[in-house]
Amino acid sequence: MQISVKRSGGFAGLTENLADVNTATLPAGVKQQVEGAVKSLDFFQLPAAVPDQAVGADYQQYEITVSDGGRQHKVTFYDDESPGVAPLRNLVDKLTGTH
Amino acid sequence: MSREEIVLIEDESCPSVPAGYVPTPTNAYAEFRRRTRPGASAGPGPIPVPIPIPIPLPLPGSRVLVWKQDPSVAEIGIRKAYLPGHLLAGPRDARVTSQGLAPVTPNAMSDFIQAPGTDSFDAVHTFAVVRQTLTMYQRALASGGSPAPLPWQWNSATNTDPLNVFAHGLPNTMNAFYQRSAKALKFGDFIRPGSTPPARIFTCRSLDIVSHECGHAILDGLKPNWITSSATPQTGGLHESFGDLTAIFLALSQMDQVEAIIAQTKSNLHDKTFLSDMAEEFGLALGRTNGLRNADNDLRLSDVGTEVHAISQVFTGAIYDILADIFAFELRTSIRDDAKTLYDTGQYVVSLLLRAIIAAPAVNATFADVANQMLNIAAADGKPVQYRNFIRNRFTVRQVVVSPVPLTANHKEGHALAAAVTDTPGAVQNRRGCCGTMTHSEYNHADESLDDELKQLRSSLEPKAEKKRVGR
Repeated sequence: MQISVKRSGGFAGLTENLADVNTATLPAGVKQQVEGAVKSLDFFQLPAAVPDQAVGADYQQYEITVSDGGRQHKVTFYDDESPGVAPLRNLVDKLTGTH
Repeated sequence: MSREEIVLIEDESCPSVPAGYVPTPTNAYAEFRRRTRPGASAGPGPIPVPIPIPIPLPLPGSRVLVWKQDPSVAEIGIRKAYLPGHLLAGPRDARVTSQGLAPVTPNAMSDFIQAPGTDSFDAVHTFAVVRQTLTMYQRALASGGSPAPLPWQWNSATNTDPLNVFAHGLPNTMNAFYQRSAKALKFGDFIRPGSTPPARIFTCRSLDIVSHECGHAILDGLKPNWITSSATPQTGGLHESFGDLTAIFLALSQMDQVEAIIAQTKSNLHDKTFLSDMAEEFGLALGRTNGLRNADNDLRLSDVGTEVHAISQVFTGAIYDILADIFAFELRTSIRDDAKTLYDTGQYVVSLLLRAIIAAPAVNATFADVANQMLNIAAADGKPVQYRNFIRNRFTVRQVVVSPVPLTANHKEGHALAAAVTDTPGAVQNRRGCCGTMTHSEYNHADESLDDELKQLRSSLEPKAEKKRVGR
């Protein structure tokens, strides 16, 4: 499974590539955690853009792209600290922690 | 201030405050203490001395320490600041509340003096910058001697909830944001990339970042539809630009900063200056020597895309140029100090911009909308035609408006300029882009004072609430 994470926006308005991970190269425990998180999110069924939960300014936007077994799906969301985006943010934390 | 001093006072192991930063008691306070101390003579008492204007003792208000810009701008460092009005432990007042850190208690003189580098300092600094920003805009709108309370977006005649300020609200996050639903500003901290030993950057220690985020909150109170993600790119850009311009106007409302700018630039605002550099420490952390963004830029609309921070720099650059033009036009070095001219220019331009924004459309406002309102207001204010020429010319060069006449001709009063570039229909913005205790405010009718400020706020909102009811 190939997963990439891009972050943009925020106060700085920067675009950064945070992670580009092939889970096959990860230690077994981490691989299981990351792939488990993707599965529990039912990632391939998520909408391409998670609707804004909280009105505000300078939120950071994350773009997660997952490729697996011929399928590819991209999900973007604003990190507004709402409960709705917490699982996606947890996945990002797992991936950036592997870098 | 020397770099050595900055290093010393940032050292958490030595949280004492340098003696020069500790305010001394005012004469009024010393007199109050003398009269009220236990065992003070009840004899004949002092001979009454007529005072033209009775001054309450002690005067309400607190002194605080703030970074003038941020810890990386060592040439100006830290200063004392006076916040008029009652502050309670937190700090908090009627409109702003510090949250998320242990409440800071004022000292015997009602001052909030904390050691730089500590959580307490950060709480006070962040609160102070937010409070100064709100006060600056309220003064900019006040007219005819009447104060002009600026509501937060959620305020109404029956809701006077304050803005919550979380100085350390986003741990390990390279960001800061305004969140309407939480009625909050949240500030992140992060390890500077590549630093050894790891150096933590706190965004709350930046006057630019704190005032920028507060600018979002203030603009959201005035134009609640401008912040939504469905707003057009230029409208989103206006929001971001207003944040950066807020930092510039706040620096220009502080006289010591104005003097420092004059000395730094020799009265040329297009020279290198901390005024135009946004978020210097944040920028340095990313390897940028001119801050994260620079207001003194030459960007045109055709140079930027739809990312709100990118497009915002066009509007910010135009306003900065107009500010520099008016300042240069008003300079009278032989009859008054350049610093006074710069202070007055800043006061006028902040008022002009704020009124223009208020007069702009409630939905999908464009840069041209605000530019045209600035032209109208400058004319109504009776300003010389050069003011309007500066506005027209700078927005024309930035490809915001089209001038039907050469830029050497005077602008004709009341003539609206067409937009040079408009967002394509359906364009979506990119946002990636005694012992003293009794002198404390808590014990000194402070609640009544807070009530006074809230009454003013409610009163200013009542007609709006009435209109809403009529409209239903």
